[in-house]
Order: sequence, then structure tokens, then C-alpha cells
Amino acid sequence: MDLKEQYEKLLRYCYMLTKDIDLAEDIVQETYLRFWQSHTYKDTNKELAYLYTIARNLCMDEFRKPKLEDIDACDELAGEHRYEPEARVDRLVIEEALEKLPQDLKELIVLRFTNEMNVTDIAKVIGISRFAVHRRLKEGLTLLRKNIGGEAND
Amino acid sequence: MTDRDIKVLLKDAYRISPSEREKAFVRKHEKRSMHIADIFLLELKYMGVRSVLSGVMLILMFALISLLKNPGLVWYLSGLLPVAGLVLICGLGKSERYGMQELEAASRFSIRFIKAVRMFIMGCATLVIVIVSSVVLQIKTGFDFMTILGIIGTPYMLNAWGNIIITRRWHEKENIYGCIVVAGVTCILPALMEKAIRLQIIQPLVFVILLLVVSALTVRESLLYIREREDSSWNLY
Repeated sequence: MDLKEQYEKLLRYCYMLTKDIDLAEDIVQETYLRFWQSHTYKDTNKELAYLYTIARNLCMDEFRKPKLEDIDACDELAGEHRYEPEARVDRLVIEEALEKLPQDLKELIVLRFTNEMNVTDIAKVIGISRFAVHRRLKEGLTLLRKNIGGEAND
Repeated sequence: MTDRDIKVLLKDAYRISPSEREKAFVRKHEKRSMHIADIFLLELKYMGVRSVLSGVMLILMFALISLLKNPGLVWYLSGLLPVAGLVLICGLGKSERYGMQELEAASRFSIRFIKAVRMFIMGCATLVIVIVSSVVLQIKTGFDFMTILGIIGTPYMLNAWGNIIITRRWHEKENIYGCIVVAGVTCILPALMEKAIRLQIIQPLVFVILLLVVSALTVRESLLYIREREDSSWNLY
């Protein structure tokens, strides 16, 4: 497993969940430290699913913490400069369309198509069957297409 | 917009440029990937001074014998070559002798692979000796290349085959004594071969065929040896 490649993908996933780049980066680094400390990941072919499960759980822990709105706002501003300047308009369109999706569908789509995880690993991370992953992905893509169409009309 | 277009766009979603923090983290924790050539270099270092010195001594002896203007030197070289095989087996069985097989089995490369690399390195060294001495002998004695290869290669291969069988089946460090006996017997073999050819009991071509057969058996035995290493090292014999 390539650390650099997975770091970037995990960061995108955590950023999608938390909407805070610095917090996402904290979570990614904490995820890796926990991943390396544990020995259960040596179970073959489950490394990636295990890594994402740790990251997801850490993000959930963050949601449970009481929010300080002002600090969050500062963080978001601080994080904005990290966005790649060459971000194209269609990329912004798709991100806005993604934001309109329900959280579970958005998560599935990002894991499958942005981070290119296989369906088996996604099923392990989310805790649903592979069949359910396929069904929801299809549902998510349909909704996403509708959202993009709507935005294009706007 | 089709699903395919959406999937292409999704690949770029939430892309974030890497920060200094990310670079520092990756630099600190990224393990250096080990190139396959590194294991060959490591194994070369692991061969040890004694194995290298034995090899060098053998080459020197070959060179000295080659200087003799004697048509019978092909038989001397043929009798010496099994000693090179013995050096190979000594280097190969080093981990067993020093009880290091478990440690090697737990290393980044499997013990099978380590054994294969060791065999490859030492086999290459011996092959160089065989080829160089065959060329020298061809010039000095006037025998054709295949006959020389049959004469000097057969005792060596018989020795290698016998030694690998012993190390594969006799899992004690004392197996080296068995290997020495086999090497001793194969060292005497050229004397019998010489007599058989001189008295025209056996044609030199027979040794070429014998070399091919024994080489095939040695390869088979080597593969079995490499395959069985992993299991036997974990079962603690």
C-alpha cells in the first residue's frame, strides 16, 4: 500500500466528511498512527478497509464533539488556500452536486469513484452488503446526474 | 452528461494540494521500498569471507593446473570441481548451521526466495569457473568443448545433486559431513572416468548425456529443496 497515494485519498475522504482541511489532516495522521500500532490489519486484503474504518470512526468522533462555530469558520478560511488553484468549473459543479446528496450516498460515491476503492472494501468500511453498495451507488449516480442537470439549468 | 463523464469528474473531486505537513509526514513514515537487486547485494555480503576465499583459492588452483602442459589436466580439474560444489552447499546451509532459519523466514523476503538467491549467486560463480576452465582446457588439450563439459561437469553435478539430497532430507547441521563424503567420492570419479575412456569401455558422449540427466535431477532437487525450506523452518524440524 503506497503511503503517499493513500494519504491523499484518505485526506480527500476525511475532508469530504469534516469540511475542515486541517482537521481532516489531523484525522489522517492519527489514522495512520493507529493503523501502524495495531496488528490486526495484517489480515490479508483487509488493510485498506481497516484504514478507512479507523478514519471514518475518527471523523464520527469529531461530529460528536461540541462545535465551536467561530473556530470552525476560521479553520475553513485557513483551509481554503489548500484548494488547488487550477480547480476547474466543472469540478466545482460536481462538488456542489455532491454536497446536495444525502451523506451516505455521497460517502459511497466518493469512496468508489474518487478514491477508487473496490466494492468489497467499501462494504466492509460502511458495514453493508456488497449488493447494497451496488444498489446505492446506482441510486447515488442517478441523483448526482439530476443535481448536475439542475445546476446546469440554474 | 453521461455516467462516464460524471465518473471522470468525480476523480478530481475534493482534490487538495499537498501541504508541508503532509510531505513531512510521508517523508518520515514512508518505508524505503527494497529493490530486488538489494537482496542480491545483501546476500553477497552474507556469503562470508571463508566462502569467498575458498572460491578464490579454487580459481587460483584451476589457473595453476591450467599452466601445466599435460593432456591429463582435464582430469585434475574434473576432480577439483566437486570441491566448488561443496563450498556452494556450505554457503547454502549456513542459516541451518547457525540456527538462523527462523529469523530469515521472518524477514521481508521469504526464506524460499533467499535460498533461491543464494543458489543463484553461488551457481553463477561455479558456472563461470566451469566455462572458463572448459575454454582453457579446449585450447590446451585439443578436446572438443562438449566432451570437456561432460568430463568436468558430470562429477560436479553428481556432487551437487547428492549434496542437495542430503541437505534436503537430513535436517541437522551435521549433514555437512555427509556432503564431504559425497564430494570425496565424486573427486575420485574422474580417475575412473579416465580409465573407462582410455580402455574404451565408455564413449565420452555418455558423460555428456549423463551430465544432462544429472543436471535435470539437480534442478528438480533444488526446486524441492527451496519449496520445502519454508515449511521445515517453521516446524522446527
